Amino acid sequence: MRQIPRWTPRFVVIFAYLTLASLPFILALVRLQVVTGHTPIEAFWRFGGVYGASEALTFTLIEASASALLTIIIGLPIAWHLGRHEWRAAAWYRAIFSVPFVMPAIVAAMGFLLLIDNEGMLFALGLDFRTETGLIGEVAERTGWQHPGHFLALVFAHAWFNLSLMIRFVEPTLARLDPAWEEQLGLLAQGQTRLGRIRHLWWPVLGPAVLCAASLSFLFSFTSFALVKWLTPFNNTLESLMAKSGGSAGIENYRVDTSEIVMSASIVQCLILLAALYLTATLQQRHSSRFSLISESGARATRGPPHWKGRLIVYSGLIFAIAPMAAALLASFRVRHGTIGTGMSYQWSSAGWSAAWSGDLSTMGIGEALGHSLLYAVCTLCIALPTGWLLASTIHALELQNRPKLAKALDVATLLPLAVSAVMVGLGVLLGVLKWMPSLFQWDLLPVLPHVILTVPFVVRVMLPAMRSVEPKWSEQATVLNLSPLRSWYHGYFSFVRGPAVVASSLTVAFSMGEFGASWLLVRAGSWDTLSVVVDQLMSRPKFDPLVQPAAMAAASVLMMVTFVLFFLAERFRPEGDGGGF
Amino acid sequence: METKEVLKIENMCKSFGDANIIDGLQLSLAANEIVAILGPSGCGKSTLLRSIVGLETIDQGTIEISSSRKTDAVGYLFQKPILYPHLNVAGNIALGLTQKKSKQEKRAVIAEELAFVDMNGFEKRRVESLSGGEAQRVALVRAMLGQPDVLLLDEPFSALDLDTRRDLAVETRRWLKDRKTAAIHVTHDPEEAELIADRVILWADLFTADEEE
Repeated sequence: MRQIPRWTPRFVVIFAYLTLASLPFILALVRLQVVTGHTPIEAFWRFGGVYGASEALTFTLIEASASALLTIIIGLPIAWHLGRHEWRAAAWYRAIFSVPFVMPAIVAAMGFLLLIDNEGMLFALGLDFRTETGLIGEVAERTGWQHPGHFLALVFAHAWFNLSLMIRFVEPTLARLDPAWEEQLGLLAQGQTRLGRIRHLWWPVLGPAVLCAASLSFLFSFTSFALVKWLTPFNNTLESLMAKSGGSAGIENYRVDTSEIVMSASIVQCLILLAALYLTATLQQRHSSRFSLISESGARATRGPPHWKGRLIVYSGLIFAIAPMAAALLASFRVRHGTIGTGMSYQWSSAGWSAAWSGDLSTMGIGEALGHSLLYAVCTLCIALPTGWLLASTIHALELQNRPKLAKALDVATLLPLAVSAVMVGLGVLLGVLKWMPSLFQWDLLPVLPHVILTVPFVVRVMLPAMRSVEPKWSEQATVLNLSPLRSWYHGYFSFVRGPAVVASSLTVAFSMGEFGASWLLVRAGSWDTLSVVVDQLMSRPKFDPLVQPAAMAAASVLMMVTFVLFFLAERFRPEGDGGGF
Repeated sequence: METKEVLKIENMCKSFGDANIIDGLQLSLAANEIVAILGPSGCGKSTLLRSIVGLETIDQGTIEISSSRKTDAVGYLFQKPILYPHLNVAGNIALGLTQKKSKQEKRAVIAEELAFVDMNGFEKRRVESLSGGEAQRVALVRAMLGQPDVLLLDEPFSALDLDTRRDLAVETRRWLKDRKTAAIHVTHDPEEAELIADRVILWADLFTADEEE
C-alpha cells in the first residue's frame, strides 16, 4: 500500500488554510460587531429591518431559483443528446460548453450586454431586454412586473454561465452508461412507457446529477456579482448589496447603517449557502453511479449518430454558448462615429485595441493589467496547488485508513470558501484583516489571499477523484520491480495524477485571472489593477468617447482568450472518462 | 400430430459494417420446446437473440413470432443479470409485472415467484448482496413474470461456477417446462446445452437449407 506521509506537517498546512479561509470572515464579523453593537445572532434576527435587505433576499432567491431551473431546461436536452450519440467532435463540443463556466463573469456580463443593447442581436430580433420597449415593455405594463427584461437577461446569463455544470455532471454518465440497462427495461412490462423508463431508469441514473448541477447552479447564481451589477442595475442581490455597502462599512461612528447591512446580509447569505452546499455534497455522494458504465466509444457506437432533433438542440446550444463571447470580440473592433443627435455610424477598426493597450482610458494599459493578473494567478497557483494537493491527499489518506467521518468532515470543510462567496471573502479581508492591520493595504499582492481561498476548493475537487482512482497495485508493482522510491512514486502514483494536476493548475490560473468580486474590492484604488478590474473601469466610464466601449471589449477579449487557451489546455489533460464535476 | 410453431426465422442476414455476422439463417421453434444453440464465442449467437427480441434490426429475411399478444411475447435473459441497484429484489421483480395490482397482490405474486425458484424471503435483499446464481434466478423470475411465449437465454450461466451452472440449467429446464414456455438457449458449453434443451443445434447447422433436428 502507498505510504502515507507524516501527519504533523500536513496538519499544520491544513490548519493554516482553514484558518486563512475562515479568519477574515470571523474578523470581519468581530469588526462589524464592534461598529454596530450587535452580536451575529442579533444581526440575523434584525435582518428583516435592515434597509433593502429583505428586497435583496427575495430578488436573490427568485433569480437564483429561476436561473437553476433555466439551467436544467437548457442544459439537460443538450447533455442528453450530446451524451447519447456518436458525435465526431464530442470532446470539442464538451470543451466549448464548459468554457463559459471558467469565463470571467465580467466578460460574460459584457457579452450579454452587447447582445441585449439597442444595437445588439436580440434587440434586432424585437426583444428589448435593456430599455424594455416593445414586447417586453408590454409584459411589464400588463403584469406590473418591474424590469422583466433585466431579470430575464440575468437569468439567461446565469444559465449560460452554469450550462457546463449540467453538461459536466450529466453527459459523462450518459455517454458511458451500459446500454444493457436501457435494453433490459425496454423488454420489461414497466419499461414500455416513457414515464416508466423515466421512473425506473433515467431518474435513478441522472436525478442526483441533475439536482447536484441545479444546486450548484443555484449557489453560483446566488453569489453572482458582476452579472448582477451590469445586467440588473435596479435590483440588488445580497452579494451586490454587501459589495455596495462594503466601502463604508466597518468604520466606527460612520455610516453604521452600512455595517448593519453587511453584517446581517453576510450571515443570512452564509447560512443559505451552507444549506445549498450541504445539499450539493450529499447529492454529489449519491451521484457516484451504482449503474455499470462502459467505455465511452463503445456506448456511443451502440446508439449511433445523432438524428436531426439532436443536432438542432446541440448546435443551438453551441451558438448560445459562443454568442456572448463572439459578440464581445466583434465589438472590440466596432468603433462608433458621430453622436446620438447628429446620426451615428460604425466602422471596423483596431482603434479600441490601441486605446486599451495604451491605457489612455483606464488606470493602466491592458498589457500591464494582464501582467498583474498573471502575477496574481501564478502566486495563487504556487500556494493553492500544493495546499489543495495536500488537502486532497489527506482526505484520501483518511479514507484509506477507514476514517470516513473525519475524511467527510475535512472534505466539507474544504468546500466552505464556496459558501462565503467572492465578495464576502473580499469584504472579510477588507473589514477583518485590513481594519486591524491597515498596513496590509499597502501590500500589492493582497488579492492573492482571497484568490487562494477561492481556488483551493477547485483544486481539491479535481485532485481528490484522481487520487481515489489510482489503484495501489501500480505502486506495489513498482516496488516489486525494485525501483527507487522516487521512480516508484513517479511511475506508480504521479504519472496517474499528473493530468489532473495540470487541469487543476489551469483552472486555478483561469479562476484567479477572471476573479472579479474580491479583486474589485481590494485593488480598485490601487496601482495593481487586474484585467477584470480594468474591464469594469472602462465599462463604468461615460460612453461619450467612442473608444471606451471597444477598449473595454478589447480588454475583455484578452481575458477571454487567455481563459480559452488555459481551459483547452486543461481539457487536453483531462483523463478520458472523467466523470465531470469540478 | 403437428406441433404449433411459435417462432420461425427464414433467411435471416445481419452484418455490422463490412463484417457479415449472420448470412441466411433458418430456425423454427415449436410451442413448449427448448432449443439450445451451440457455437463458439463471437459467432453471432447473441446477435441472433437480440434480433429476435428487436434490439437489432435485421438486414434481410423474416422473423415471425406466433403470438396473440402485441407486447411481451418474448422474454430475454441477458448474459449478465441486469438488476437495478436502486431497487431491492422485490422492486426488480415488480418491473416485470404487466397489470396494475394492489400492493398486497404484488407482494403475494412476488413471494410466490421467489418460492418457485427456491428464494423464499429474499424480497427485501439488496441486489448487490446476491450471489451470481441468485441474481440470475431473480432475473429469470422477472423475465418469466409476463409469461412470455418464448424466452431467450443469452448464455445466462456462463459467468457462474461449474456446479451452479449445472444446477441452474436443470432447474431452468424444470421451470420452463412447468410454465409451458418455449425457449432458445445459446451457449458454448455442450454439457449445459444437453442439460437444458430438448434439441441441440450447432451454429453452423442453422445455415443449411433445412435445419437439422
